[in-house]
Amino acid sequence: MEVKYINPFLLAFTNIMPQLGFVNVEKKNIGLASTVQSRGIVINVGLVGNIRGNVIYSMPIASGRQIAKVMMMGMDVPEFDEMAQSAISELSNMLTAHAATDFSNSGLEVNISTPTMMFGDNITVHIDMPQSLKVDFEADGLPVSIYVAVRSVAKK
Amino acid sequence: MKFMIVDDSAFSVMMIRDILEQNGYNVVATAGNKEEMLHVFKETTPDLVTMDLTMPDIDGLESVTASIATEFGEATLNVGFAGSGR
Repeated sequence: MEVKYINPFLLAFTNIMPQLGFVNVEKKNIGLASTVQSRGIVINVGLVGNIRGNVIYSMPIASGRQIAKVMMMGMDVPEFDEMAQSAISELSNMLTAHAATDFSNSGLEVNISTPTMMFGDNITVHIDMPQSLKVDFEADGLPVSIYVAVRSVAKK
Repeated sequence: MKFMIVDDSAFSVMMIRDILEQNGYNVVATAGNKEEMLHVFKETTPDLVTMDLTMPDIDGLESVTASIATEFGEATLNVGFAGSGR
């Protein structure tokens, strides 16, 4: 996967999170990954168009609760309830849509699916695309991993 | 002014409602899908609708406005569209 196809996803996280109220947004690690192992939340968003594939967001439940709390203006989020799930789902939508807009500005037409969220104690997702990348971020110390598994399709 | 919020995201409905009510507007209805949207529109006759652009059973500006116009006529159709990050 070419580096230029991952940058919009990195930019999305570093642009959107501060807009939501996070002060320190840091990229910690980047590397190849073909499997998502999560003890928490996994959200898959599909991409179709000139860029095709999936972007998968993974984070511990505690990250999800704290991020939802910030998104809801500090409202207490004692459990990862329906409203918190909706907030995190919306976050994945915002991040992926931001990347899609970035691709569009480069002349690549991309549409995204509605997010699919899973959460549990031991989730494994196999990514069936060579050279998929995992990027680890922290937003005010809250870990979030983004798996990018996309390929470009020539414009007709 | 009476507002109706149409969005399949509970989080988005909550945030839009908060913003409108904090600015003194009256949110008379919310809906999370096309069927509910058409039903509560008829019930509450809002002056202005905020509309999510992408929902599972209804997608895009033309289809949304067409649905409302077909159901209720085109006389006073005021719809604002919203879509996160796009």
